[in-house]
Amino acid sequence: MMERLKGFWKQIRETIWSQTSGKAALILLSILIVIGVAAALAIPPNFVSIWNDPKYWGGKPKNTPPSWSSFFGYPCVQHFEEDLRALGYKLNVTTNEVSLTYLFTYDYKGDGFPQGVALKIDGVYANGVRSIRIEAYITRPDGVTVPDVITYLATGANGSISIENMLLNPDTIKLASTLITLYPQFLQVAGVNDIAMNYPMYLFGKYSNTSRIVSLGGVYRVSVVVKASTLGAVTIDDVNKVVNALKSSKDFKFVVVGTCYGLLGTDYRGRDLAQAMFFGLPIALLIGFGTAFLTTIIGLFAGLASGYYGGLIDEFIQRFIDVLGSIPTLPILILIAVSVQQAYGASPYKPIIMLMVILFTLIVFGWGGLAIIVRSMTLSIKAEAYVEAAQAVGASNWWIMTKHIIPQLLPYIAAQMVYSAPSAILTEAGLSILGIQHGLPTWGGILSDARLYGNISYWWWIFPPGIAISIVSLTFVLLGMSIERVVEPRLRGM
Amino acid sequence: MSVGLVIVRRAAFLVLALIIAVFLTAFIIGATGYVDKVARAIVNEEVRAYRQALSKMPNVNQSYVEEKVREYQQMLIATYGLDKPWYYRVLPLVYATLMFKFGDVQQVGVADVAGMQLPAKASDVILACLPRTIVMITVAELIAILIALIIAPYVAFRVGSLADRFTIIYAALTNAIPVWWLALIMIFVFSYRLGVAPQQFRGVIRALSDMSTALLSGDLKGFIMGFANVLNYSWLPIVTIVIVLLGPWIYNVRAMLLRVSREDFVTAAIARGLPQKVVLRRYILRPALPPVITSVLLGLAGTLGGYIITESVFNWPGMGTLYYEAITSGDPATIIGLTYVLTLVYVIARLILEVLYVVLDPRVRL
Repeated sequence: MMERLKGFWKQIRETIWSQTSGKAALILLSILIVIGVAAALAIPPNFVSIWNDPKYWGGKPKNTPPSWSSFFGYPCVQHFEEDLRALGYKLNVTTNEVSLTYLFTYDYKGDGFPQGVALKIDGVYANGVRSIRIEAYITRPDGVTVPDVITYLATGANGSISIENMLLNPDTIKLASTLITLYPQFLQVAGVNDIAMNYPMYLFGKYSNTSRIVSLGGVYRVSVVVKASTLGAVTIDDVNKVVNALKSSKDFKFVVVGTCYGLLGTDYRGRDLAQAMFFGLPIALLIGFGTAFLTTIIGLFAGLASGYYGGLIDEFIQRFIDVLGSIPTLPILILIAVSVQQAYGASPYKPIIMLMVILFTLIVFGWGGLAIIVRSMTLSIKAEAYVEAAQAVGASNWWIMTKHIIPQLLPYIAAQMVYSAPSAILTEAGLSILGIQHGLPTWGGILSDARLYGNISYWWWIFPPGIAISIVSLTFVLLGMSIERVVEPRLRGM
Repeated sequence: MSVGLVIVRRAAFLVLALIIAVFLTAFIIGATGYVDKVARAIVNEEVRAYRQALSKMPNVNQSYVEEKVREYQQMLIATYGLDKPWYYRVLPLVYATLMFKFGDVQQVGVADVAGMQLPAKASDVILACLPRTIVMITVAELIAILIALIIAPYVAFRVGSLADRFTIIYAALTNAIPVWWLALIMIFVFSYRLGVAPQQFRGVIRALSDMSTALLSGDLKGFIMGFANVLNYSWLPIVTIVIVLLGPWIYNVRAMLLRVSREDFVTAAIARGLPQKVVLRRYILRPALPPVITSVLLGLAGTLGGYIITESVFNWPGMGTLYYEAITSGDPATIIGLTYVLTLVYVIARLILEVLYVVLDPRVRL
């Protein structure tokens, strides 16, 4: 058996590799598997909850195209994030206050305006501190310093302070009046409310001769000051405590929210689409391989039993396939999925349950075609003389099936299995498109978000998932075609 | 077994399959509480109306009204079978469906897909949506089939040629691309970027009814205008579906022809020196006819159900969208009616095929 399998694999490899389409399929497949395994290893264990956590994606630009879209003439301000924990700081100590000043620069190219500025803080814990005050100043290229762009004051109950998951935005009205004091000419173009609404335009812009606001490109020097006032007089211990609290925080970033982001842009919640695409690959492969494998196994054994034993078993299985074949699969699938969605809406296991139910239904409705093929082949093999000879010397049914019949069926089954792999991926994605969402970040899920929450003109949101789905199914289709040409010599050239 | 007996036996099993499909649907919507929810809503509505009618009568005792209303409610609950668990209602539902009594549409959204107001019968809603699916999906499938039937013999006779290779690459590509994704892309390009196609496709309801009224009144000019209007809505979906379906169709027909062309009798015919045209027509096309007709007929029957996902992407008010709307908003009459009608169409197609096999394949008649 092993020898035969090995020989069969060698043959398949040689014959598939000798075809152009087979070569393309094998190369594509190995690339997909390598990326898929890498993604499966790199995926954070709580990725699903991170993906659905709005706070995690705060401070990221929403509905923005990829960074490289600027090459194609799209006016684009790159997203800018400065991790303050990694920066050096200037320490300043007075009698009851420790202050840390972080200085860095932001290089603004001046093609369009950013969407805003923000400070992201998470997981800062300090004891023995009365209050922590954070202020951000921006010095513009023209030398003018805009004070208090962002201010924040945290006061702790009985001397302990914890700052968790804060996204600090400027107080826009205050910032607008500061800007007007510094640049009174802004009032000629807009009122205070307008300036407050579109503050990035004025913070990163200048009043031009043509009575318009144009972007002011150049180097912006940003300083973020953290002032911690202690309960008593400052000791070395207090200084260490404040410095460590900031150093060991979970997140401490200054953000200039751009108008384009990352490799593949972002969705309506500012989520990085490249991550979903990357981690969606192993899920897609699992869905495809898993259903194809189970469907094939069931089809193989049902067809084998039907053809080998004949009689009532055969009649029953064939009529069962008839019934399954007559039922419209997709509506039933949607019906079941919607019911499960309503029944398990609140359960934390809903994504997994829903995906399992969808795949289970696909398997139940999917094995009929293969079983019919396997049955007809089994019938013809069973009539061969060597099977009769094996029966005559007392070989068991199981022996005959595994030694004489299954090995001959294998190539056909391989072709069928490979062919059926993309259909599960396509159906899962199709269901997601309809809004039957299990909540896992699959490629279909991204596409369905694009339809539900996005505008259809957000091309970076529709193209990549569809192309990815197409590439994966193309791989399987090419592979299936080349295996088919091996097992069905009539399809080859004259 | 005689041919007649074989056909009757197949017919019996197909009818059984039909009943099981309806039963399965009834079971699912029963077990998930769809039917109960709707029946309860009807009971509450009728009880409210009854109470109002009673209160309007002069000199009625309040407690008398209460008692009458309670009696009426008990009566209604018994009529709809709500006093028993859901599985008691499955069989009556199956029976009524098999008799084409689907009941009334309950959800506004479902009637809206058909372009109707609410007191509507499920069967009317289904009949209203059917022509829209036909002008989009059935026409597209028909076009794809016709092109495939012309191209496939051509490439099947030139296996390995440039045209053949191109066909295979095209088939592989279109086999891999989801129709609904291409639909998104087509809308993005033609409706939004180029602006040559409509962005909303619901207008086809109006266009189709204009066209049919013009046809019925014999107004030729109006008919042509209506036809152009329908085409204005349907050309983008049709082109999309044809692009994707063409590849698999050509590939499959080509494979069927190739299987036949390697048979010994074809080799013999070629060896006898018969002209290529005769070989193609008499020795290849004729034996390949049954499998080709099978896929054509089943494919066309399948289109009547609409492509749920693609129609939903185009927001096309056809059978697929109706089905989807009925399932998501919970409209049992439409769900079960559609399942029944579609399975019926499929079963009828299968029966026609059984008869056709007898006509086309002489071996069956032996």
